Amino acid sequence: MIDPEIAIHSLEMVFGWPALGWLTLGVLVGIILGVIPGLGPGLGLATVLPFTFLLDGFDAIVLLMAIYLGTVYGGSVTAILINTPGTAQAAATCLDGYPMSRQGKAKDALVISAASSSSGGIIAGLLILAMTPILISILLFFGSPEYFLVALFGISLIAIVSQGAIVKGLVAGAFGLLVSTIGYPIATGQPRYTFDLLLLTDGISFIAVLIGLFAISEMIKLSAESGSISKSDTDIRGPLSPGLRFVANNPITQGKASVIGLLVGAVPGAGASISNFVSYAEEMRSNRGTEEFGEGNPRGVMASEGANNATVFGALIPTLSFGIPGSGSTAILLGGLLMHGINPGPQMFSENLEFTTALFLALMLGCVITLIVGLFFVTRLSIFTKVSTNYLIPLIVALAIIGTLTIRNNFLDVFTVILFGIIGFYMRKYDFSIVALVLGVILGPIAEENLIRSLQLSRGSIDIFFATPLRLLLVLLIVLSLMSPVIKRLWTRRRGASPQS
Amino acid sequence: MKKSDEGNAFEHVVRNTTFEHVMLIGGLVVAGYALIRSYDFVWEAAIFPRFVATVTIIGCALLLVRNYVPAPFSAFLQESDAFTGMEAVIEDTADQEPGASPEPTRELDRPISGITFMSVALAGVAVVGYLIGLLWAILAFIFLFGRWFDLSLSATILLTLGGGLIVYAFQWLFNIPVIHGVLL
Repeated sequence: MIDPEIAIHSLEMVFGWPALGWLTLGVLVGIILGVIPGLGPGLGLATVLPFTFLLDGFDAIVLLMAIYLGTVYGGSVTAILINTPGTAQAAATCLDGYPMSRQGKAKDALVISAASSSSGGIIAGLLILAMTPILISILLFFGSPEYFLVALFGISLIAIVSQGAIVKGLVAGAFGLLVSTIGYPIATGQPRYTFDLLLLTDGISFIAVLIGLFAISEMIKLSAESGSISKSDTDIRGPLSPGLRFVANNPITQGKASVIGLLVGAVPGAGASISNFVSYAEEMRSNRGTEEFGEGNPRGVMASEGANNATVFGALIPTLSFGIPGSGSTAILLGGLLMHGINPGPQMFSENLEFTTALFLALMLGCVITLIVGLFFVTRLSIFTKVSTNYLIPLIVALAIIGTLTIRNNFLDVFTVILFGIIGFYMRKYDFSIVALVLGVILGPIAEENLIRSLQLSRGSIDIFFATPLRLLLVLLIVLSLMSPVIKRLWTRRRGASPQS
Repeated sequence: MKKSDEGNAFEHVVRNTTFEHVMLIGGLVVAGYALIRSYDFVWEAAIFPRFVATVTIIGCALLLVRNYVPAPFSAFLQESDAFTGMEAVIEDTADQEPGASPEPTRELDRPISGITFMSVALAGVAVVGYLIGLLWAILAFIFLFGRWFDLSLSATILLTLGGGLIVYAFQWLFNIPVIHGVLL
């Protein structure tokens, strides 16, 4: 467990002003973004990111994390009321949440969702704080060669678990790394690929790439769809107690969902869009033969919602310790950390432990705020399901473009945000992973710096990457991840040949 | 080869070319250029771009020829999601997210699709913004957007004013040059 003195200082940071205000505002904004069909955490975070440069580093990260947390919960409201998950993180909630609504139990489903989401997050937060000493001892083994290998492993893993063909993900990641090489490299003073243009000497802004890929491309996609307006008028009146009692009476379901969410979230690239299904599937498996799922079982809602907020916590472990985000949204959070000069690494769990602890405590407090909003204001939140995206698209485009320009006052960023917005739309269309591309752009300088430093230490020999068991393990993991299509094919063929299968 | 055959082959290539091919060829060209230029840099500055450019070139080339290679290799190139085994579910939800909307695609009586309009209009914002000022480019974009997607005139004007207010507020707060471009 963490040092009580650190815990007290961290609590002071969380409950201090204006951090508490940004936390509350972030959760509220996030919930509203999650409730509006068509908007999600990636879009919300990408749009807000440039404006956080006005804030202190801690306040900025708290605001971004709170938006992420709120959006994940907000997505469940539309999943339950109109069978449309506001975000992929709430997709499994539809399976039982919407049938509950049709049976007149919408309020119960919403209360279960709020209570299990919040409890899941708090349990995950406590588990992480308890595991901190173990994390610190592991991170002490990491030096420059390990960080270079971890960066490569992160990109290859994200390419694999993201949507679309693996080779496409790897190409996207490599292209992102290539984009990051424009401008002045860290190791030398010689500019690269600048065409002697002043605009390019500072390189391509990863924030502009990120906003283009997440916000602008999403707006292009939405413009092709009808304005997503809910025509549902579900009755969401009723008492809070049945839903709260159900969550309190099922601690094992809650505990399992939280741990699954935490573990899946900690796998780079997996994210909450997977964890809610894994948790739901586990609940179905453990109750096979005794309960029906998919027809309005509150346990299904609890399993899905209990996992998705816990995933937010889990995703922060690789993001803070290695700079490898667990999802697209945490890639934007990573961008926020770097933008504010907070470099991920072992120091986040040693010298900056107070800061890191405060972030987790802030998230846990965010869960409490989510619960309060979810329990007492959810009937009013349903209004936002009727907002048409037609009116939001031009304003979000304006905010994204002008916000990007504000950061460096370099018009190149306007070209970048729009170019990558268009590229991002077509990447999604043809199943290329935009998260891998973003990660390449963000991790490029970190990976290059550690590569050059390692090679300087070894006088140019690549043997340094095989010199210790940990490095060998990382190399093996990279090779395994790259060979995963072959492994999967062989595995499938073997299972197909087995008579038991 | 006869001229008509050449014409047919050209037509076949044009008909089967998608934006994905354009992206892959673009990636190939950019990475090729980066690889060649990397030989002008000192060792420390060259090694990383050379490595990632090589990976990009190999990846783009493999994806471009994936339909023309033997079946097992082609399947390897198109294989997805090796670990979770939940491709279908994730893909379904990813398609929905964050639009997540079962609603139909918008159908408007226009010569070009909404996506083409958005892409061209956004490119226009960058160019016009650079030439005469971002404020005017964004105002024009919002107005055109409203008219293109059949929003009422009053809503379009309100949105345009709202967008203008946002941009002007930023100009006032952060003193960013949005009123003038390189020409005006």
